[in-house]
Formats: sequence, structure tokens, C-alpha cells
Amino acid sequence: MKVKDGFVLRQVGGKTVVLATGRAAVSFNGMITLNGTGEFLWNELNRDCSEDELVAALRANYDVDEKTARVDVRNFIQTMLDNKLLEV
Amino acid sequence: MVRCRIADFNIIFENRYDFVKSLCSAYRAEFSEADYIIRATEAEILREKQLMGEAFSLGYCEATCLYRNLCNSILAQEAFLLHGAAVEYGGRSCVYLGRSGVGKSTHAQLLKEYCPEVTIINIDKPIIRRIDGSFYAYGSPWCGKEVVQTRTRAIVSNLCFLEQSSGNEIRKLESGEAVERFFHQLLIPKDAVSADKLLALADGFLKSVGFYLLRCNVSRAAAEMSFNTLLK
Repeated sequence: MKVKDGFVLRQVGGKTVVLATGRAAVSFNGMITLNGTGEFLWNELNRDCSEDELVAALRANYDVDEKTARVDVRNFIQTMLDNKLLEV
Repeated sequence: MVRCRIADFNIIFENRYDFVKSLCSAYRAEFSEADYIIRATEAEILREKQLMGEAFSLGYCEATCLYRNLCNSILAQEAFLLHGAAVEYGGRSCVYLGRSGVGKSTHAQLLKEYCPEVTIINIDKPIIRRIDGSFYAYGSPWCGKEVVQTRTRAIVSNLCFLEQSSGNEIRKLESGEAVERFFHQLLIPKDAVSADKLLALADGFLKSVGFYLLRCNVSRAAAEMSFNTLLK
């Protein structure tokens, strides 16, 4: 799975902000703010990757056990799917 | 064709209808070279008319499209539209932000009644422009149904988010609290390059101003609290 094309990510006022442009703006109308872990996962999802790869990447960069990492990744993916932000 | 100077840009509007000519009368200017030539297609105007309804003329709809197209163009030169009421006192500006109908215009007018030396720069849609590192709020012909604006500019010191309340209280916000509220008042471009420019500008702007949340009613006391905290 992969983030849809057309999203722009930047630091604004100390927060990580994402705007939808182009094709992405057709299905998503609004702005997204991401915390540190969210930004990390978003950037990973800019290339095509699986849930297992995301869990592995999270564990490689953060001090987190397998179970917690999997819950965090699943919650993040679900939020992305609910808001039509992912291509699967 | 209408030639204007808005936010220190030389603009030519290539208009089909006359409405924008009288709308921009206070901003007419002569110049040899335009910074921007702005037009709206018939399709854009008709789409706007469908959104706005029968009560609005094609000329009014064209003017709305022209302002939108102008504000998208001037992003390239570090200027953007902000939906809010910009007021000035003593050479500094505060912009009041909030959802439509919350009372930004009413509050701006109350401030002016409280202190006649307050100037309303633009009661609805000022242009914010970065020049030599400072962000200025500018008057423009597009200034809400009350049509209140002044052809002037002032450096923005504060942003104030308004909420309706039975009492009056004001507090400072951290920038993190301000970001989401702020973005609701921007015109977000549809293309990635312009959106990225807007985000970069927004970051610079938010780093240069103070943020406040004012929960207030419609009263002189609300204006006094606002004036003393944000403008004095």
C-alpha cells in the first residue's frame, strides 16, 4: 500500500501539516496534522510497502515492542483508509 | 480591462462584466507594466453562479473568480488571502479569525466604536504579503458584504481566533494550537507547487505573530478586552 499521489507535507508552526492537491484533492478535502510517529509512517508509505514492512521500520527506528508497533501501525493504516488516503 | 494597484502589485483584470470596474474604483491605477494579468473563464463564472445562486449577478460571480485567481497567482510573490477581519492601530495590525458567522465583522466594528483611531484594513478578506521579512495585512476591494476596508497596510502583530460566549475571556495560544484553526481560513491551492509555497509562507507567518483565543459576547467590554490585549 502507498499514500495516494498529490499530498504535500511540510512543517508549519511546529506541526507537521499535509495538504491534498491535484487528484488527491478530489477525494480528500481538508488538512492533516501528524505527530512524530505519524510523520515517520507517512514517509514510509510514500513508497509501496506492506504492514509487516511498516512494523519492521517502526521497530528499527523507535524503541517499541512488536505488539505495540503492530497496534500502532494497524490504527494508522485504518485511519488512512477511513479517510481515503491510501492506494492498496 | 481594469487597471489596479492591490497589495503593492500592479494588476490588470481582463473582465467581461462591469461589476469589477466599480468594485475596484478606489484601487484604480496607471502603470506601464503589470505584475499580473488576471481573467476568469466563462465556465468558471457559470460554476460560481451555480454555487452562489440566482440572487448573484454574473458580474458579481466574475469578480469572485477574479479575486480567487489573483490570490492564487500572487502566492508566487509571497502573498496570500486570509479570511478574517484585519484592523490596525498605531501602525500594527491584528487579524480576527473564526468560522463564518462567528462575528468577526461585528467585533471589528465594535473595536472602531470603542476607539475611533482603529482602522479597519479589510473586514473580510485581506491579502497578507511578506515584504523584506515582515508580513503586512492589506486592504483590497473585496471586503465583505458590509464593504468595509481602507486602502492601507500594516505589519501583522497578532492573530486572534474568535468564539461566541456569554462572557469575555482571552488567552494566549501555543503555535501548535493555532495551526489547525489558521488553515481553515486560507484559500488552499489545487496544485502541489502552490500548496507547498503556501505552507512555507504560513510557517513564516505563524512564526512572526502572537496567537490568542477570544471567547466573547457583543459588548463594549469585549471590545475593550480585545483592544487592551491585542492592539494597545
